[in-house]
Amino acid sequence: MTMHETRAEYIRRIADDGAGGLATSGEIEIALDVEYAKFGQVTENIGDLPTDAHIRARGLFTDPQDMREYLERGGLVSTSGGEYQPLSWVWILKSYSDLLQEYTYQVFIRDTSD
Amino acid sequence: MTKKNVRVLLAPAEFRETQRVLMDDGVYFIAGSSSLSIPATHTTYIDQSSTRLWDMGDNVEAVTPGEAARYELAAHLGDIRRVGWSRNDITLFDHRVPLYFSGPGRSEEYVLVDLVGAYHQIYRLLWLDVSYPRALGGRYYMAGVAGALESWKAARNAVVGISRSREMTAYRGYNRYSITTTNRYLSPAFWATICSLLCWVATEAIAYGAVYINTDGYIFPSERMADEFMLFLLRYDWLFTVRARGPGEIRGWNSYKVGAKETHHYKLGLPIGGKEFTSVNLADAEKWSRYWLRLRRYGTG
Repeated sequence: MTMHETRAEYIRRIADDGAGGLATSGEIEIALDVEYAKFGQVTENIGDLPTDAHIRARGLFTDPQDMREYLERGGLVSTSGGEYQPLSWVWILKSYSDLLQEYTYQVFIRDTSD
Repeated sequence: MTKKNVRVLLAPAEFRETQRVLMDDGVYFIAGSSSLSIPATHTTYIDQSSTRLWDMGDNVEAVTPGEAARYELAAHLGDIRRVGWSRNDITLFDHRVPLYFSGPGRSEEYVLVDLVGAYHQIYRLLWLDVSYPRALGGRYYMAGVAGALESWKAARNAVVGISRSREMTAYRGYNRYSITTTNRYLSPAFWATICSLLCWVATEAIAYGAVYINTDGYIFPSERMADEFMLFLLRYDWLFTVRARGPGEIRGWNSYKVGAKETHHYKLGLPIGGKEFTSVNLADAEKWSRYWLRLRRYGTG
């Protein structure tokens, strides 16, 4: 799968037209989770966040490539052999937005200084 | 504690004369677009023609657009120490508003379409601490600031200037200095988001046949092209107006006539010709279109 094909919009579109074999919203959701998980630990339960994790981005992302661009500018991504390696101190909180009617993802960073 | 400056309102001619005298006398002063501050005497001279009476909480004062904008930012966003962004975000200031010129031309049916209060239309749906690109939400929602400044165009636009202002200009005599300042409202991502949304609209305008774009104004060489672009604007709930239409000529950058509207440069006959250029370079226009729809849903939800 190329970088272009991992865009949230692309994943949703191919699901819509049936060409991608992603027939259900659940499958789309899983595909998106896989993309976000390349950068850090994804959780839906705020209680799972480490106690020393603080909000890095107040904004909510709806596209994994947008989050990647944001993290890259902050020096918060790691790659090896062209593949993204999830960083242990990057946490991503997944939540459903009733307003947007879709899942959103927010970046938290652990304070690993102690 | 910083001593508050004495404010002196001057007529435009007096203001210009004061600036000249200060420069001739070699007095050090900080120059704003419509004010001059002299640190040594704690005096600020203000061009009265740029001011409006503004409710500043304790009293009503004649203030500049920048002063009104800063007051409303503080009133609505609270005590911000800094917006919060990483060192590399500074590159986001490299974003530019869309400028596009496809070369000189003539047409019998030019149409000039303007977005109404473009900056304001955008930032009323944004957060000053928005994350780039295309994040939703933040601590400092701008709807309140936008609402308070709605009636004053110069103050509305001053908000955007403040969000990217990193320098002050000072003079001693006729020597000009740039002074780096601290600005608690500085937000590279806010600026970049506004530019990107304007570049998305410009990308669409070019696709519909626009031949000249300056930030939020789009000239089309035919009624049909303009009509199709306006349908696009309607679909995405942009507020716009047709500023001018009719036969005309585009001679060069900032030199055109569309119907009854003639720019100052055009009246002077300058410039003639000019090479085509563009600052519109947006690879992910489709994503920005979806972001705009999400912003609208988020803001009105």
